[in-house]
Amino acid sequence: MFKRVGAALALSALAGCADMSYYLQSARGHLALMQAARPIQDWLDDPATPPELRQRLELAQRMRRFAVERLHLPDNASYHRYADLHRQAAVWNAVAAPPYALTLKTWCFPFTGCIGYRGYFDEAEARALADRLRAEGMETNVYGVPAYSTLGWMNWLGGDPLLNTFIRSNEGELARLLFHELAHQVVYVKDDTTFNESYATAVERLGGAEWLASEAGDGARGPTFASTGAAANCAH
Amino acid sequence: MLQTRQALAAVYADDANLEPMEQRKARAMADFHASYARLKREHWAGFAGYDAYIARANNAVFGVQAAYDGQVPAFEALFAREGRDWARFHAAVAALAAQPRAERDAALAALAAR
Repeated sequence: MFKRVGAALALSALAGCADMSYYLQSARGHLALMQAARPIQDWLDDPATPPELRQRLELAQRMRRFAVERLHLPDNASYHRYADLHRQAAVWNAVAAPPYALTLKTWCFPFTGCIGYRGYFDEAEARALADRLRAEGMETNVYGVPAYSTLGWMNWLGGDPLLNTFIRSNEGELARLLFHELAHQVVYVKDDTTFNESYATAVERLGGAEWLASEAGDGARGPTFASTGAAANCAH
Repeated sequence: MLQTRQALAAVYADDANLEPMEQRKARAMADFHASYARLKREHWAGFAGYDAYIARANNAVFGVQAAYDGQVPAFEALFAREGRDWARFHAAVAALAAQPRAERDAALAALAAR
């Protein structure tokens, strides 16, 4: 019923002037994330890496292999590195809908097309946008998301890393998140958020169930609401 | 939450109703909060971890949910149709993605109805 919400980030250096400050914060935030990422093996070789993080990284490596071998998700640079962002969410999304419709306001970007949310690396900026939209009569929400996908365009630069914002999720949740984000690298349609997210959600549910059925460690199946870590991210 | 989403969608689609939309919306939301309170009390032993999320529920929150899972049943049906074969499933999704929006939406609606 309550699920983690992943996201595809609108990244672009090819912006019109009106949105330049938005694109600059996107580029700056993503660059900082990429710079913080180091290969998983580096973390495993580092004696300062705590044992529980080491265990999660090894688990994520097994899930990454499973994603390729069993789920036919892309075998590329993504999720072979890890970054600690020292914050609780990768980005914060602002969303808005009119008072008498469930149709999300959309924002349009060069590569992603029009999407139903606007992501910020700084929570305060997302809240400021939501405040402005609420003043215009919209119903709004701001929520932290633990991960976003660069849709495969950044694999030549190392791809999307594993992050502290989700690496400690329970096993099923971690598997679902990785499978969801990797699905965005298989198929992505401009201007159709529902298609993209529903496909990725289907992949995470079906793939997550296969992981739990055949690979999961003891206790990984957990209670139904074991996903509170991810829900807490939603609750920002 | 799906139930409330559907109830709200029905309220917003019905502009011929004599009762003001605002009142019908308020009733759907009151029902939603009452159901949540009941669920919490009867099945969750009072677990309050979702209270803040529920308190914020509005059109934007329901709209995001709709975007994230609105077509999931169609994709799950497609996975079954492709014999639960992941390679075939992804290829079928890519073929849908290549279609014009109207045809894609119609194909997904047909799959969901299977």
